[in-house]
Amino acid sequence: MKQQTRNTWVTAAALLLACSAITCGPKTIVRSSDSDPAKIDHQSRFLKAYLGDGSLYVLNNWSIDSEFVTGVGSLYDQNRVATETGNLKVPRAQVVLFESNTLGQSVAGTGLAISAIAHIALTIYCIQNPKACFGSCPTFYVSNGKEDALMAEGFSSSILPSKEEEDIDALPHARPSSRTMTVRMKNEALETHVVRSVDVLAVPHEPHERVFKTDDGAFCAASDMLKPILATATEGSVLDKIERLDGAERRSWTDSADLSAKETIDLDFNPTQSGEYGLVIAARQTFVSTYLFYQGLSYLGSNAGEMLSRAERGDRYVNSRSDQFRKLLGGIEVWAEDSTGVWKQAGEAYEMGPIATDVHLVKLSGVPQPRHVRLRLAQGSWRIDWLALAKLEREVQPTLVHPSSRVHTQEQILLPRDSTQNAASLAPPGTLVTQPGDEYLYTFELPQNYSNCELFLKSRGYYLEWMREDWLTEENPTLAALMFFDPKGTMQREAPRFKEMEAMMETSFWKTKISRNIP
Amino acid sequence: MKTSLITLLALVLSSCATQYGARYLPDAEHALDDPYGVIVHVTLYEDAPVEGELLAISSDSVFVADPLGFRAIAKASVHELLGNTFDRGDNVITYSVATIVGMLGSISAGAPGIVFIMPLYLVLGTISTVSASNISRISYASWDNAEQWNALAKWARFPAGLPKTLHRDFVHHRPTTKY
Repeated sequence: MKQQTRNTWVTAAALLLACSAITCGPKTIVRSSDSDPAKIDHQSRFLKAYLGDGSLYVLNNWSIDSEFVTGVGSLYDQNRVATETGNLKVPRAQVVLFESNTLGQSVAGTGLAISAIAHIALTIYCIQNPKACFGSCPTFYVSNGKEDALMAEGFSSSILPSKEEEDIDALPHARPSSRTMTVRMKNEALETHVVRSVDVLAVPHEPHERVFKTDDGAFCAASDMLKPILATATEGSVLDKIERLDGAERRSWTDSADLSAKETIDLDFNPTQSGEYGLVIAARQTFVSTYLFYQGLSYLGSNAGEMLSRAERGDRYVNSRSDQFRKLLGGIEVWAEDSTGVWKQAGEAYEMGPIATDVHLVKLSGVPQPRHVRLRLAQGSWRIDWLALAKLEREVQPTLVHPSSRVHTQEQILLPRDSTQNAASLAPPGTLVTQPGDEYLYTFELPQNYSNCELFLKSRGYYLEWMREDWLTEENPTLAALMFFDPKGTMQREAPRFKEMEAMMETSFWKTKISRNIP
Repeated sequence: MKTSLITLLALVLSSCATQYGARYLPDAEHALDDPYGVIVHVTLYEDAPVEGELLAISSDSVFVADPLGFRAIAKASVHELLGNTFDRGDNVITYSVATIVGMLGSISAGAPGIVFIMPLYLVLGTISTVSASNISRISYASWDNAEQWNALAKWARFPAGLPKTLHRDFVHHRPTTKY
């Protein structure tokens, strides 16, 4: 509440500054003079009429006709001593120069006004939506043939040292122009990233094949890629959204009464051969899980550190309750109908993080010619770019490519240099610690046949979320306890609140990305 | 942090233009019916600078009334002329302070405020401050366009030229107190 009050005062002060800079900014004088009175500003309050001998009439309520200049004012001599005042009249022929002076508004205050307005906008945004801020692990940028594009986010679910894990992300859009491939890793969030390793996996395949990874770490070469002939969700056909990996995503909005409410997408395929098939899913999360994580930290407030420490120490209760959230939201369940008409769950695709789309393969074991596939997922929790049926040929082994070099290309921007150097010196050899704003450029020497390789990025590490000041204002031990004791109820309680900000979360999220060189 | 801000404030203020006649020029509102010429500071190539009220500009000379009396200055000897048409007031200090306050206030918006808003205040606030300091500025520079002389003439006490009847020994400088 204290923070909100402070933000309100800051907003009010900035608003005042903007208004005063615009309306009460400095004035300037606009002067025009000419021997022809028609060419001066007749809106001018005062008229100055100069005579040939250097004397001057300064007149208020003035008028000029063909013979006389009249008005109320003073006549000044050459030293500007007033020699006559009152209603004055001077023959127009004696005047050698007429002059008008008006006040103009200077634009000097515009710069400050723009700054103040931007400040107001940001402050209002922060007050309304402190949990839509950019977050989620290291981001990786790789060339797509035209520019460096965001292609992967590493170890998004590794929020503690004990949860350190390896993450493999497909790079289907990577287009290295030579054997030398660069990967730009950025820390663009208010987080500390501990990066153990970043490698590239190059998986060779035949020219007509693609390679996909399963969530258990296997790589499969696939020959035929079949588009669905029907793809039906609650809103109707979504075929145009999911038949290509093109960035056009199918997404739905959350249930306003329950964030864990499920929906289904039915897919019909027409495979002509029997064999082993798998469903290819290219997807990323929406902001539901990010919101719940940040909201949990908010409710914990000053106790967040203690609770995370308990989880880090292996407190089974805390860890089991945290897992409840993951289970309630779940991944994208894949169900397939076998030849007898029985639906069987084939597996689940799960990838934490709302930033980069990853490609998963879920094997449809035991269904040799799958025609009907159903996806079951939490409504509003996933954005799906591509769904296809892949005929699997064989398992393939990747070639592990370690980086040949790593260069620090951008310095972090928020912390004193000493503290980051201390943090870096405490890290084990080979481990990289990055802070917000840090950027590293990795270089990899790919195999000779790199153009016939499917590329994946393998990263390992964990990250520590920074507690935000705004979050502390919502500290609420009761709601924090309910999150642990009653995860299902929390999904229902938080649903209306999330719904209020759902539409603007995407925009808000990307606006708060911390970086200086966003492509 | 404190040192940086003081340095910044000093930097912003130092980039502001000097104001001539600040003690006795009227503000913009009161300058509308001011019968005198503006205050100029004339830097000469060889002699000491001259500061006073601009009386008139002829084809080859600039006429100024300084506290000692009438001064006729050959245009060819002028290196630079700077002046103010009215008292710009406290806007420069107000804008400098507002820039610093805005920058400090941007911290309250967290990292986005520091990354996006603080530099915005720094750049645009400095531009505003410098603009405000030049709000009443007129100038002529010998290395620049000579046409500027014509534009300056309208700010003189005698914009139509020095009157032939003017007795140069009895010309008085404008009052040096505000009225």
